[in-house]
Amino acid sequence: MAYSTEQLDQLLDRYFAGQTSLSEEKKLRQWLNSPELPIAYEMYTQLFDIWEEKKAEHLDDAFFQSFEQALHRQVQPLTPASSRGRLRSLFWLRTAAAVLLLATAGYWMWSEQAAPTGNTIDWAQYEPETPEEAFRVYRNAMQKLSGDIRQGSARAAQKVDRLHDAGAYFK
Amino acid sequence: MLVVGLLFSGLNGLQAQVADNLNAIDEYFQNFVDDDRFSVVYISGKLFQMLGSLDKETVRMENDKDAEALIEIAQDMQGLRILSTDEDVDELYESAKKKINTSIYEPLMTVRGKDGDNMELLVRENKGKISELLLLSGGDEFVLMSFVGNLDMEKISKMAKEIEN
Repeated sequence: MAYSTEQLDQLLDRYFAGQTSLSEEKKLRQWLNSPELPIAYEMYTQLFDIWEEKKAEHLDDAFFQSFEQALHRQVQPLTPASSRGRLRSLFWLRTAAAVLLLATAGYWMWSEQAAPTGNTIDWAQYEPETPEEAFRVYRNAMQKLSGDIRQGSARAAQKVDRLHDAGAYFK
Repeated sequence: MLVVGLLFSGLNGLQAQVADNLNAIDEYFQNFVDDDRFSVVYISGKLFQMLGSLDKETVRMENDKDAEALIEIAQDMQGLRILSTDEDVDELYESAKKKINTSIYEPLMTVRGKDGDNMELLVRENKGKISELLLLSGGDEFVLMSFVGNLDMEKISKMAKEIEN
């Protein structure tokens, strides 16, 4: 094994605290994928797998970003005086965070399977094939919008005029 | 335990919020999108960006002097969804209107004509900026259009005055 569990712990803590660099994250990924990985760490591998699968689908990037940010926000204010205490609380936080993420990811997968049509619509299938076609659609949409806005304003103006006319009787 | 509790409540809140943002549009269109009566078109933010690089020749061939202004507005667009049909127009208009979530959308303009040419224009704001423009229109055709992006109403209303139908 090219790394110690202590190193792995340290890197995981830093990862969940949002302090890892891209190369460190890559290293962490490699370690988690290595065949010698102790069983206790397998849940992190699963977590990363699901994470990447989701990223590949481009579905929940924004969600995962907010999720990570939220995690960091929750983790950072924790600065107990003793470093041992800090490490221990980080360990529990890390575990809790991982369990929570796994549970959430599991729920998503379950809900996706349970309802194949899901809550999200696959909009890509409705896209025009060329930018030229898209431009025509967009232009028509803007013309419709413009026409409706103009019509709305004209009606509002008419009503105001009628009010003015009515006002003339009471002079 | 307190920390875990915090984490739970924080994440649950966040999850709900994110889901809210993601689904506000989809939830609306979802009721109709699989319905055969409708034609559906979607233009993604990426496609909008590509409009900027459209050949000027192509734009001129469209014989549209407002094309440049349109393309400028397109740069701020992140998505356009259009749903339309000419069947059961009045019924669809009423049911769509009832489904508008008034805690998210704020009415900008409402037209109610005697001849049934109804129109609702609504906006969704995010941090003081307009993030979505929703047009619901009846009459001869039922149209539901959602423009998503960093919308500049000044630019749009200026164009609305100038654009030729």
